[in-house]
Amino acid sequence: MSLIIQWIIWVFYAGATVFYWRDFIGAERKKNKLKINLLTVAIAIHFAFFIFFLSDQGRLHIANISEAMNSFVLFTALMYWVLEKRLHEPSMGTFILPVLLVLHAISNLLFDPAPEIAAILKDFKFEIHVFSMLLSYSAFTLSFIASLLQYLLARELKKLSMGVFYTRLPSLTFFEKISNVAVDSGLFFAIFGLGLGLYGANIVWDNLMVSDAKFSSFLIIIATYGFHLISRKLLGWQGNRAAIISIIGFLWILFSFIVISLAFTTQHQFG
Amino acid sequence: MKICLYIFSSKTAETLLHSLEKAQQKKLHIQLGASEWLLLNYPGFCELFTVFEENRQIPTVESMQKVIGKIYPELPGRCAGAELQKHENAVVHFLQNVAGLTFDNLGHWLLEPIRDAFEQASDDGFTGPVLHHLFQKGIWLHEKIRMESTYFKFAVHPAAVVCELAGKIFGTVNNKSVHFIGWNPGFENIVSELESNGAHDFTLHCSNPKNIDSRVHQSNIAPDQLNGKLETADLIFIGSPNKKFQLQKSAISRRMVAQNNSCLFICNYSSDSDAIKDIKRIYNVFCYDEAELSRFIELNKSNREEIRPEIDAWILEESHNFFQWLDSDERYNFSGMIGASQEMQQIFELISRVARTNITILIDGESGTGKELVAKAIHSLSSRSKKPFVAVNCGAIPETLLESELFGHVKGAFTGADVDKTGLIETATGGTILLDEIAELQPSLQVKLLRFLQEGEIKRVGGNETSHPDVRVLAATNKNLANLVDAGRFRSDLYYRLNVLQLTLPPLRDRGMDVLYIAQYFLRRINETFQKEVREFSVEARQALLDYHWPGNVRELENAIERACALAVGKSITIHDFPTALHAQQAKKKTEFLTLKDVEKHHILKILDHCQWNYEEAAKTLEIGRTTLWRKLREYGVDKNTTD
Repeated sequence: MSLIIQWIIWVFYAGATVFYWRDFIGAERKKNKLKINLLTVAIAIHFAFFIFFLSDQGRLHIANISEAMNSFVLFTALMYWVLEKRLHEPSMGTFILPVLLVLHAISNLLFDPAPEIAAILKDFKFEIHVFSMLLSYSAFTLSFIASLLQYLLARELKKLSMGVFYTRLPSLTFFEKISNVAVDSGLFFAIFGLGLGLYGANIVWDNLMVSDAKFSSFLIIIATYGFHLISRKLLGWQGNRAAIISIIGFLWILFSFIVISLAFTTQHQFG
Repeated sequence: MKICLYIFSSKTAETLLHSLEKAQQKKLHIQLGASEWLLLNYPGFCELFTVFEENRQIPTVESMQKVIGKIYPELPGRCAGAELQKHENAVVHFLQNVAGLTFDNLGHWLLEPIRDAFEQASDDGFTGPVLHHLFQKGIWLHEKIRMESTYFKFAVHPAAVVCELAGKIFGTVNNKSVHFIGWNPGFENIVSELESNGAHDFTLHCSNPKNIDSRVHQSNIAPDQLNGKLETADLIFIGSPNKKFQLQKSAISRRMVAQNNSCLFICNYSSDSDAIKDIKRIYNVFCYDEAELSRFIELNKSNREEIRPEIDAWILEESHNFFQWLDSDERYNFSGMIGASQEMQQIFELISRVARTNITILIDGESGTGKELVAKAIHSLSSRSKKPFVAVNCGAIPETLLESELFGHVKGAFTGADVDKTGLIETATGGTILLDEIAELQPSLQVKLLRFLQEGEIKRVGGNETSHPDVRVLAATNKNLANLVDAGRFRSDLYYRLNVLQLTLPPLRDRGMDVLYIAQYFLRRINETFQKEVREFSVEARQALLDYHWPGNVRELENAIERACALAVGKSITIHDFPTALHAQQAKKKTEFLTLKDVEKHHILKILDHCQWNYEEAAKTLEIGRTTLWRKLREYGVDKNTTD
């Protein structure tokens, strides 16, 4: 049943994606509300599922890779939805939704109807740790999309070629601001989540497991985005340079989220 | 009606008719013999748009030049290449001008000059219903193009392109520092464009300051001092062809360090393309030369051309509608409203301008002035025209019912609420709601309406759920809402929300000849209903209609005509067919002394009636020139269509 609901949600996300792309590519930027309405429905059902799961199972929907990926899709979509409602700019949705669509499909394909959940995973501190991590990933995803669009727009502006990005996107400053705010808030959640994780790791593993691939990978993520923050504040790196760091950071997150989580299944276990 | 456009080619930037005094313009008006005309004329551009009566022959270009030459002797030599466009071509050209699709020889947008010229001509009394109707159509088309196509989004003017690029980089140029290195005549437009977008800080670096734009601060520096002067710059324009005064890469590097590498926009308008060669590669510097910008403009032009066929189709359709309107004998009809007076034409123009926006409009005016018709016109000209138009009379529904009528109710909300009911606001979703007699709204409902206007949300009576219907709100009242606000009987916050734009309809007594046009319209309509053959008003009846003060406005006029039509014997309505109030006033007037003008007007009308409106014969009978007769008819506001 849960899987059917997840595929229904996926269909709504897919519908929204189609309409975001249609309006982006179309000759005119129509003020079509259908796309945001479809996204709203998808998020509403997804959120309702998340809450229902919490009340039914007594835990957050984050205990394995499939669940975590699913919740990550929800948080990112929700963050984007708030952003669009506030800024009335739908261009980022065109690029963020396909990413979410793929991750949601992978999550559905990896769906485990009866997962074995270790007791520690139901611990409140652990839940907050994963929740924070997912929020940070969501913020970094928003930063990635904003940076990518900023980079592509800057390229067209440098060459003065009036391509699709020039005609459809708002200003470089718009994306830069979003990217910077997303990186700053993502870093906050990441460090908070890491702190809680280290505290939990001390309980579970007796000592810090630096050989854990997921942990090491996450340190690289924090270092990358930390560098983004420092280079901006101290070195005055703006525009493309900051955008490239954000893009690299997100590519590493994807690698960490998908490849490392699936390849090193024996690590970062708490059973 | 014959519509003509004389386009005088003026390749030099000389003004052709700009020095014409008002008296000369009036002379020209009489000499042209056109019933309406508009002269669009400024350095480098001259177009004369004329409207002739059907019985007039259209003057050739040569004869037009002669006429103008008599009044302005220097002209004929200057406009050798004049061109005459007639009928549909002329109308299409006019609509294109007003809709903002054309530019003059020097590349200036014609939209603003033509609007200014029209207002001036309108004030001087040279325009009439035909030009007003065309002008309103042009404005409406401009709004349609702006809102429903991307045509205007492609900038084709150098200054606009610069602003567009700056907008793409910075988002806004508000508070950006703009530096000019050397001056170029085109910079004046750039300053204006940037200033209108919020930039105020303009600095010119040059070695010998000149008397240029007062908005630009001039810094008198030697070429080698430029290096340290650009640290605060966000936009740099190079206009100096002087190689010594060249922009150095080190100056830009210094600026980038000083500004934390924030974006820098540079445009090179000097002939030296090497000036920015090294700078181009610097990170976060967006650097363009004139050739690149010209290429960009060409690209934008071709993008506009791609959209143009669709826009041309809209214009052709409107031109077609215009000629239909011209033939339909509804010359003074605007979306069901009749009015040739200046006041009403201004109202029609405002309606054309705001119909396609979504702003809330407060319509006020005496009872019977046609407030609901205005609301319907706004709705029918807006993009919501295919969605519902709902009119609610807030004064006619008891207070206890009004809330549930407007906002709806849920089952069980009160005794008798057996089923859920959709409110009128929700019924109007996608369309327009008119809240008539808004002054009668009770305070509790004023709060609820304010919430809807501010937040866009409504809640049914007895319900908990809120909904957000997309409805345009128009409000109407015959009271002075500002006074009610002062007296504390109407919420000031609601008043300001409703009064985004106020349309005040003039009373019928202030609309001059409109009374006759409207009376004629009612007569035709009532004839059809009663199946009668009453075709005209007697001279006395017309005078009575014009003299009466119409406290009940159009509604009273309609009743008076209906009564007169029912009582009329034969083909014309006499003063005795009107209600007592009208002929009592006329009888009173008869005992008073008439002015010379009244006598003259009365006599001219009598002769015209006698000659069956043959102007040639009437002029002969009166022993005056045909042009003098025209002038007098115009002076007295006499029109055959309204006096038939």
